[in-house]
Amino acid sequence: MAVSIKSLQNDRKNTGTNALILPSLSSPTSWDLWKVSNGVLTPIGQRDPSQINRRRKGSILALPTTDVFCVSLWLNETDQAKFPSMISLQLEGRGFKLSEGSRAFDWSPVTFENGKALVMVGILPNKLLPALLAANFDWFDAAVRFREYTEDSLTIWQEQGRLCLAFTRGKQLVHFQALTENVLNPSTIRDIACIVTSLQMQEVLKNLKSIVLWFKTDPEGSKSLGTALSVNINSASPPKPRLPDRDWTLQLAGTAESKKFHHRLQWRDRTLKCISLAYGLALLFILGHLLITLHLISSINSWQQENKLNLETIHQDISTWEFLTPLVETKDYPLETLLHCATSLSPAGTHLTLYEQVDGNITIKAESQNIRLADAFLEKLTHEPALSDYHWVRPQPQVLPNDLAQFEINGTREPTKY
Amino acid sequence: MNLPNINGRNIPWMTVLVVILVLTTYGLSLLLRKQSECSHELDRLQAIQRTNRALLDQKDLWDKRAKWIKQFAPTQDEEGKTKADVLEAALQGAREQHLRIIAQSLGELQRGPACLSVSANIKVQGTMESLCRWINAWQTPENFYTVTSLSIHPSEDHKTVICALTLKRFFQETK
Repeated sequence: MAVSIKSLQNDRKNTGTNALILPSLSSPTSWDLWKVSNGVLTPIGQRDPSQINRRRKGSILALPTTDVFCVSLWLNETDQAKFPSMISLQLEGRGFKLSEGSRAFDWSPVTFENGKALVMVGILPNKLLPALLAANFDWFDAAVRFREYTEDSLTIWQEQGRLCLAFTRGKQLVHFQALTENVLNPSTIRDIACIVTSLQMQEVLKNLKSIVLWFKTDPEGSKSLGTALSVNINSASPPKPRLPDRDWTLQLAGTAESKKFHHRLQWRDRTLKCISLAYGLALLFILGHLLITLHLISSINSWQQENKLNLETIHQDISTWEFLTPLVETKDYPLETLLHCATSLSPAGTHLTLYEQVDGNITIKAESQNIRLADAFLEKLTHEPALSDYHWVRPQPQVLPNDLAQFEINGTREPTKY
Repeated sequence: MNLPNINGRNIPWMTVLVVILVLTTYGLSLLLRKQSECSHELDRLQAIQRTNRALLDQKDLWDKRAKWIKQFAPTQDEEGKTKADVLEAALQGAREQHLRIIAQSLGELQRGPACLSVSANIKVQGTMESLCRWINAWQTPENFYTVTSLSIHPSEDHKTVICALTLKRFFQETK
């Protein structure tokens, strides 16, 4: 009993795919880029896969039919969870060498009949073109799956300079294959007949009703093909691509390592860019700081220039006033300082023997009845508010046998500054 | 699997980066040196500006002082006569206070910015009271006389004091 395939398949309309790259059917070397939006494909243009941004997430690179090998298998199992291991065993039995850890094949169920399942398996070759590798896609799909085919038909088209075949069983694509040549000639017709016979013998093809040609060929060739296979031949334009119901995620062995390598490269690039950016910003900051400093220097110089005359006048006035300091600083008049010194004398017991004041420096010679009175005089002199600008120094007094203390005190102060 | 020649692809970019790094490192050292010099220069100028701003804030005061000097400071006649006048004024005062004049001499003429000064050295003996009255007479800024040095010590008899002083008078420079 046939199981509904659609119920088993994923809806890939919401998988986040945003671009599809397909081998062009109009040119053997170029690739068509399609924008995917809500499951609708819109053509963008033609380009090389290496031109696609490798960091672009959600892009699908659909490999040409020449780069994916197809095997249609009958499995004695309908539990799809067991399909991968069964397919793997069958492929190894047929001589395919599958690298460990790779996902070199993927499959799509075609039909389920009498407890058996017919699956179409796509297998990646061991190597891909360098341009495809450089594009650094995480996985690949097969371009043949993105076309819509007539029911129970064989569709033939030219792709990447070779003839390609796609067989349908009912509406489902069941097998595809690329030939070595790109024209219909007796050799290719014989090959196609062999393939059809082989598929029919394997009961992969059930009822081939028609052949559809998507390319222009000579009438004789198409007639010969129709005669060889005993079916009608129709010509048609290739339909617009459509998204298959289920993803294929074909991965080459080593793709994960390649991805890690690319990932490391990305981080290295990012780090270098960050360092360059930080370096550039630091340079800009220093340059900006320098420019601001130069601007400030310039503005201060301008200010100085503007006020030069006023400042020169003031400096002249200050110099004149400093010259007049002995006249205008009344607190430093000798008689005033003598008076303040005299008030520091004790009521009795100390008397001055010399008072001298020259250019603000004071020398006092005095005698006290004892050393304590001499100390008291110095103490008072030091704490006299009017003489606070002076720094007083008194060498050790000379004490006479009768306790009389003779001493000298020197007072100095800094010249008055304005 | 043949990996794409990624290293080869990055060689031009890396070369450019290295060249840029070398050039910018050299440029950066120059830039930093220049920045350091400019910063020091700015600090110096800012300090000067602060001082000058403070001076400009006091401009009115200095204008008043300059005006006072111009208005009241005497002008000098002939140099010799001026010195003699200063000495004579000092002696006259001493006589008036009954001080005995011990010694007298003319001092040097000193020139300052926009002003000059003339001094006279006198040594007198007398009572402390008379001496103070005499000195006090010269401590009047309005007349531009002042005592710049003073030395007092008691006489041998301890009844009087001996005083040596320098009397100075300031004049404004005549242009």
